[in-house]
Amino acid sequence: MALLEAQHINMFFGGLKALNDVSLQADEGMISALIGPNGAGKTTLFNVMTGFLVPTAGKVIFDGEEIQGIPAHKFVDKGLSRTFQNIRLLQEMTVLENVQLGCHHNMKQNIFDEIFISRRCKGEEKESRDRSLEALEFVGLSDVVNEKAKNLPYGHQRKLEIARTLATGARMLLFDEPCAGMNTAEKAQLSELILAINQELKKTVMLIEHDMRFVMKLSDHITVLAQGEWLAAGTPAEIQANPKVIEAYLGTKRKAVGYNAGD
Amino acid sequence: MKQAWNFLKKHSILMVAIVGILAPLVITNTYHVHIILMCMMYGILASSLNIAVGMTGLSNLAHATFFGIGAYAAAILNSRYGLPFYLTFFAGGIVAMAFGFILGAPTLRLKGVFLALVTTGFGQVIRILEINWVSLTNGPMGISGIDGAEIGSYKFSTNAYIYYGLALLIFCMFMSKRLMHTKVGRALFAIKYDETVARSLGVNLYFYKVGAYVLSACIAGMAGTIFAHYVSFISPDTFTVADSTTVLCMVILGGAGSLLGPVLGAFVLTIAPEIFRFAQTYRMIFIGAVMVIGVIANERGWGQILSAKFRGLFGKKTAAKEGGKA
Repeated sequence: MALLEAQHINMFFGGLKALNDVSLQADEGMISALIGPNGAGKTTLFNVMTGFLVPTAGKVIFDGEEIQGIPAHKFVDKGLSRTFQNIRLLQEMTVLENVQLGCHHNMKQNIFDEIFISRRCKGEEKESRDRSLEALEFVGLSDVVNEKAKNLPYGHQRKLEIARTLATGARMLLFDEPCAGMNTAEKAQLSELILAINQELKKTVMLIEHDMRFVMKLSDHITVLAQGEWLAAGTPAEIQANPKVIEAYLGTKRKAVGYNAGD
Repeated sequence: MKQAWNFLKKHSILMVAIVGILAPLVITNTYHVHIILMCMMYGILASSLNIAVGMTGLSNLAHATFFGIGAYAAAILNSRYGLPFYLTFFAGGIVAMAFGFILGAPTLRLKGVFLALVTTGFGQVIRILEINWVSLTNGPMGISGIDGAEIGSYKFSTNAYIYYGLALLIFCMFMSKRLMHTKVGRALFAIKYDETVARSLGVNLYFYKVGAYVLSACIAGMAGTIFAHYVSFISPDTFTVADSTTVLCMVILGGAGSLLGPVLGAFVLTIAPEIFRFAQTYRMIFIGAVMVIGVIANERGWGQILSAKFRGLFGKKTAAKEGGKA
């Protein structure tokens, strides 16, 4: 059953059609991938599906509920959490604080609880701490809990961002290019991590990625976008064999040698 | 040196309390006591402004205006309706809070320079209101004859005002400290560092921004009521945009976002002009220079820079390197 569904999304910025009638589905418990050449509109679609952009037309349906148009900060309550293409951490804050922020939406305490150190405040703070430590342990960062985020090496910063989405307790996690800028060993580690998140923690995962080997190995379902349009969807094997996809990535023979440049 | 600095940081509230309690006992010169009281007032202003500027990253050039609004509320309620200090104190806070909301609600979708301009404008509007709404504020003549504060039959001495201010300062610092280590503070810092992340994690930006503004305005207003009852005369000239700028300088000089920094900044920038009074007009040049250097050094604040320098002078070389790099 589809957990997250985008139906006929149009996203226009003035005259620019960033997304033109794009639909996609992510089934519960699956790892699905969103691929396409640069400028295909993948991140735009992510932004639409996580509330950062309101689509010009079309629906975003999560767990049977239409969620396009509600404020972005409510998406995490619904059960959707995301990472960003260029790592976004709160650099001056500690690793633990970064992850604890992921528990924000589950905490009910208000400022008076905090000033008067109420039981609710103590309980919630402890719970968020425990949950964050658990998430950090899962991604393998439990030994740098009190470091400032900016002092972590690149690969760890990516993992920290993932730990933060885990701490939100969201059912569906969207990773925007999780292994950009990583070397082969780090990528292998990361793909194991994502697999573990999917299988042990039973999270539904969707990711944008350019590394084809990574995508083909990891995902159960792939959607391809090109120039803002839906191009194909299917299993990794189907996508690899699809001539339209190959054309989008490599161009046809004629185009490649530059015959009809004006086409 | 590093240990001393860490100790100071850890027990900063206690330190401020001790200094605040001892100072008026040791110093008896009337004029000096007045300066201690001003230290408390500016300490409260800087510490409360720190919630909006240092923790949430919002610019605010109207903080002295909120101080003035609190003072005017107290003055009007006291001189017209005879409300005693313990009531005007809270009333002033509430009125300032309301004005904080009036300023914050429509403008807090703005950022940076734009917000700074809007708040400056707000400061001017309130000042012009104070001057021209003669029936309410008595215009440029100001309001005189505000009763001294008394609780029960006890009339406040200057020291009592200082201790009252100190209590509010300690409360403000304690609150900031609690916030920094819990949910609300994390959300505020998240807004300061990266609004997109905050939003993606479920932080209602608008709610927290307005909340931070209202909270800092409320405390400034309360400080204003103490001031009004203490000096017993206020006029529109008492709370100018220049004062707001000074408070902002205190926060930035001391280190925006830290607990002790803004308070230290307030103490230094209140006392320094008095010490250099012998240099007359020239002193403002020195103080201006101090501010410029401070703002360039920015963010980290003086405390950390000094501690890094001292570590370099007295400690190992590696420590100096660390300090230079950080």
